[in-house]
Amino acid sequence: MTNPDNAEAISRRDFLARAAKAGAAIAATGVVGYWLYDRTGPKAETVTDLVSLPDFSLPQVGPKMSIITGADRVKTINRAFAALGGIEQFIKKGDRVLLKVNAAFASPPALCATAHPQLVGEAIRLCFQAGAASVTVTDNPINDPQSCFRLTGIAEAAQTAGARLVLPQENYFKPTTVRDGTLIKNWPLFYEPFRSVNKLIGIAPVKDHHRSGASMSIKNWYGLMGGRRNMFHQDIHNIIKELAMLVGPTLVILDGTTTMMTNGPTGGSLDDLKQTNTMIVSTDQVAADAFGATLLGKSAANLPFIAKAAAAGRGTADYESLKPARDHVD
Amino acid sequence: MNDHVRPRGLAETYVGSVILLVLVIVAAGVFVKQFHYDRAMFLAAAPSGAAGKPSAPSSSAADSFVDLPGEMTPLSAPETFNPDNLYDKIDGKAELYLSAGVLGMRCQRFALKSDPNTWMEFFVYDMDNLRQSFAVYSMQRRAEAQPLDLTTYAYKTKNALFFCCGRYYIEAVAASPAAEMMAAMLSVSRLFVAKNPPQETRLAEPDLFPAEHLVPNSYMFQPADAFGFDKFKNVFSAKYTVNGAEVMVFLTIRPTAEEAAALSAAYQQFLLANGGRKLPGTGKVPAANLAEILGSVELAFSHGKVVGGVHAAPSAEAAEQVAALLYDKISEATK
Repeated sequence: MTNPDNAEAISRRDFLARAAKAGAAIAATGVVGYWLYDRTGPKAETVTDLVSLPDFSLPQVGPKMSIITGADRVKTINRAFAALGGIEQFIKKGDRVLLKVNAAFASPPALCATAHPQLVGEAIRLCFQAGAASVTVTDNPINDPQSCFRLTGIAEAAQTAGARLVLPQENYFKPTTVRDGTLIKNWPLFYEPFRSVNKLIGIAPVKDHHRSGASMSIKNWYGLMGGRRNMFHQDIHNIIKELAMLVGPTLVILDGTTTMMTNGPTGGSLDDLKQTNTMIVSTDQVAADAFGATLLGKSAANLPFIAKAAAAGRGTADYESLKPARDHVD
Repeated sequence: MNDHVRPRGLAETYVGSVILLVLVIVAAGVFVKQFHYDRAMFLAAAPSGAAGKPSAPSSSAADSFVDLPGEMTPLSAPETFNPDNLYDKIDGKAELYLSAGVLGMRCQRFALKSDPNTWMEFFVYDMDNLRQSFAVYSMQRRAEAQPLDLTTYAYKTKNALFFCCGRYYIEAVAASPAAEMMAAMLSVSRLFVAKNPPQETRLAEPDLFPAEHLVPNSYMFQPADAFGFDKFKNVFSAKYTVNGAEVMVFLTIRPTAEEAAALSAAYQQFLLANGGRKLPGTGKVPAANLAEILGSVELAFSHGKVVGGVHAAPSAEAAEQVAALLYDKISEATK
């Protein structure tokens, strides 16, 4: 209720003048707002923002594979390369090599849920021995990256062997789309480590996987994905196929020295493991995984992603067609 | 006219000026900030590089989320996960816990004070109830497990121990096998059980399985979709050895006898609809449905509120032999 004593008397002229001023202020605000208004809104990612990985494979070398049995990773990896004519067939002087290891979990080497540090160290040493100008080790782990690389022993192995370690950072990701893919569309890819390399080697252990049945060479590329990648688990076989379509490595090293037979991909007990004493080196990641399936007591037919990757033209499930070099080292 | 204008006080002018100045500063801030628009802040659904990753645990000593014996010390900070981000810790294995109804998980690494390089990680999954904690416990049970007198459902392996404590499923995983660490892990576990005494300690269904031919400690609980049949929920199973072959015996309890009979019949229909072939029974098990599918034999029956049966038997004879044992045991228990 207005108190008449406090009410401010106002003349008609004064009222009109004030109303005009208020109207002018509102109009000016509208003009400024209109001037600042962005009709198009923020720009969406355009095709030019997308990145894609180069094909790191070596067509002149052709499909090659070696399968070496033995309990000592250093010996078997050396023999595996020797059986293929030496690592120099793949790594030349001056090459800049990227090793994509599986460092997914902050887990000790004994549980074999990640790439074994001894194998990573020896692979780095072999690359340098072949004349590599640089070797970079990377992964975008499931768990905290620093803990993963430290507790798996991979950080120490890489640094001891003279490799550079690249851990994920927010600005290291760029969107990518897999051509003819349905899942990887405009999705963040851990791209930074690829900027200055010309060779790519994947290093992964053979593991059971609760969702896909197995985690091996192709599934290892999952560690290049960013964002809320766990949604891909809903279509696990197709995402693994698309990972094969995304990445064309120079070669893969599949470590079946100790295979995680059950409760993968994390395991937890030494009872989940079995000594299978096998090292696989292959230029064909599909063939490597097809053979790796046998170490899990399965066949390629039991793992739908293998047939899907093969159908997408990323390799062959018939690993015997590669006439793999076989040998054993004590 | 000026006679009608109320004179403005100094305070009024001062306050008005301050408000105008603040508005100008806000407007300038908005104007400048809009040139630094961060798209990621507004695209909740858009994936970003490190989104969803839990914060890095500290490597320095931190508070422990469980009581520790004197010989242990935290190696990292506690981490907490919920059903939405459990994948960030255990990747594809999260599915196993999610399907069993996990509510959350906490974990932390601990080391021996005497040797910081000897460490373990302690995981506590909140599964809501004993039945669901038993589900993840039983589905992961290691073949070489050694029973442990910690709780009703507990075992250890060379480097780890696993147990149900009521609604909680616990894993203690050492980085490497070591007697001193195993003793310390047992101490932590006993402290945990003492602090969280379970309301439920034992499930009734395992007691309905006959002891004869039973493979010890082979019980398993599947909350849903047992044997690929979407109507098979809350199914307990156990392995049996019959004439040298391993078969799986199962049972589930329904609210009424009618529902149990309907479920038994529905399983038979499911098998037949998926290429199964009906087999005649010998009558050893009353009202048993038998079917041969993919080279093995399935048998299901109902007895009161219980649906029981045999999965993947090598022959009808083997299926009926072990199913008869189950039928008798259920009869005895439900007298």
